[in-house]
Amino acid sequence: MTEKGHRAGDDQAPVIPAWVRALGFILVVLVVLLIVMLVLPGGHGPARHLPW
Amino acid sequence: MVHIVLSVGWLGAVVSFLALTVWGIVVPDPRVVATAYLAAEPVVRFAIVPLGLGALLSGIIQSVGSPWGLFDYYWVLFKLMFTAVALVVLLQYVPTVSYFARLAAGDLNNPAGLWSYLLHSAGGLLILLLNTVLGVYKPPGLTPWARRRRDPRLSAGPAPKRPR
Repeated sequence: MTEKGHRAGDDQAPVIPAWVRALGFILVVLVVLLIVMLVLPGGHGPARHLPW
Repeated sequence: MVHIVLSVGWLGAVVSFLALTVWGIVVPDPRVVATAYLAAEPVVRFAIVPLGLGALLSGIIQSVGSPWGLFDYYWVLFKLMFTAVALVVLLQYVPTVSYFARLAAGDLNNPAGLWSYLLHSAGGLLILLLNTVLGVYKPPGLTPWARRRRDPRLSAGPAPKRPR
């Protein structure tokens, strides 16, 4: 509590931990990659791995 | 307990899939390549997929019935989302594995598809290891909505400024 009667940090936005930001970035990259793979037509079927 | 068994079992099944893949890639023998394709399919169908679905369901049930909650802590939320992404990719990939197994039952001995197996299983393994670390260490951090619910003063928005 401060002298004025309210807790320090009451007016501040909550701090997001650094590890949450890092994992959030990884998750966003994975989801974008997944959506691109699902949305792009062709080129991701089983036969794409075979050169013939 | 059930969730731990299913999650660690899922991780182990992915490792066995990865082992088959690496075996098929490094041994220059067409019979080994075909065997790797054939053996990988039941590992996916009867181990990786059921264990993955079981880990997701048991995790949801367990978190809802515990003080951790499903959406209250960042680490639980991240485990849920990483598991969901891994399962979507996995279920999308099952037809590919079946396709190669059918070809390998014929005369397929081209290891090109095994490189795709390697990419997918290594990526999946990294995600599952990340989930394991989150589950073991449970890093602190409440989500904003959980913080608001637990502290009613925050639900009314930011604290009003006091007049000077």
